Amino acid sequence: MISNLIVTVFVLAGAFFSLLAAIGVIRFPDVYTRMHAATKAPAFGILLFLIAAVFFFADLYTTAISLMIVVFIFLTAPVASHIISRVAHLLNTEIFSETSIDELASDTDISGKKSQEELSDAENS
Amino acid sequence: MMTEHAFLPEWVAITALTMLSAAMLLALYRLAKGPSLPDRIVALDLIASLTIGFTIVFAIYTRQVRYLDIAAIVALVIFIGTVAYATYLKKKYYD
Amino acid sequence: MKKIIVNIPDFIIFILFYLKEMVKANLYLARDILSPKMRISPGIVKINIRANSDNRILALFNLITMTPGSLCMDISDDRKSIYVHGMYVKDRDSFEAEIKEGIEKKILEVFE
Repeated sequence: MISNLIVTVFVLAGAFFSLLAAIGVIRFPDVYTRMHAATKAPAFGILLFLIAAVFFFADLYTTAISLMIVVFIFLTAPVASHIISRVAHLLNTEIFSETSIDELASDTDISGKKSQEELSDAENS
Repeated sequence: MMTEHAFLPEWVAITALTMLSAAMLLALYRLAKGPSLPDRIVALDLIASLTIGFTIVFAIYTRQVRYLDIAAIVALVIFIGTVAYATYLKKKYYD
Repeated sequence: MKKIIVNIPDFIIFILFYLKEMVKANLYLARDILSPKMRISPGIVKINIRANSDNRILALFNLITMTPGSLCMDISDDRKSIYVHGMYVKDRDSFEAEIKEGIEKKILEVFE
C-alpha cells in the first residue's frame, strides 16, 4: 500500500535529519556554525514527521494541527536563531579561527553595543 | 468508529525513536560541555525540537491523535523559553 | 486592512520556492556534516537591503535563515543593512550578489 511506504520513508527521513542536527551541533567548531545545524535540520525533520502523521491518520484534525505547528515552527525558528546569534556576538563568544571576515565586529551602528575596552573593563571590575 | 489507519511497521517506529534518543544524548552532551552560554542555549533549542519530533513519532506509534496536541503546546512554549533565556543574557550584558 | 502580499498565485509559487530551498539547504548541511573533512569557510557579511517594509524584512530574515549556508544575525538601527553569517564565504561580493539577486528580488516581487 502506497501510504504505508510514504509514512515509513518520511518517518525515517525525519529521524535522520534530527540526528544530523545533533551530530552537527557536536561537530561544528563555533556557535554560529552550530546554529546553522540547529535551526535548519530540526525544522525540516519536524516538517517530515508531520507529513508522515497526516498520511498516517488522514483526517481533518491532524491536517489542521499539523499546519499550525509547521507555520509556527517556521516563523519562530529564524527569530530564535537571530536572537541567540545576536547575544553570542554581544558577549564576544569565541569565533572559529578560519572565519574570513567579520563585518559585525567593526561596525558601530548597532544600538548599545559596547566597545572592546568597555567590555574588558566590565570584566575586570 | 473504526477508521482505516495506514500501517507502520514496528521496526520503523523503534528505529526512529532510537535515532531521536541518540540525537537527544548528543544534544545533552553539548548542553553539559558547551564552552559558552550561547552554546547551551543552542543545545536547549535543539532538545526542544527533538522533543516535538519524539512526540509526533510516538503519536504515530501508539495511534493516538491527541498526542499531537502535546507537540503543538511544546512548540508554543519552548520558543518563549529560548527568547527569555537570550533576553536574560542580553540584560546581563547591558548591566 | 493593510495588504501583506501582492496576490495569491505568486504567494503559492513563493511557498514552493521556499520548500525547494529548504530541501536544498538540508542536503548541503548533510553533506557538510557527514563529510569527514569539513570544507567550510564562514564569514559575517554586511548587506545593504532594498526591502523597506516590516513584512518584507521579516520574510527576508526568514528566507535567508532557511536558505543554504546563510544565517541572519542582526539588523542595523536604521534598517538599511543586515548582517548575514555565511557558511561558504569565499568571496565577499559574490556572496552579497547571490543574496541580493536571488532572494531579495523574489521578496520584493511577492510581498507588499
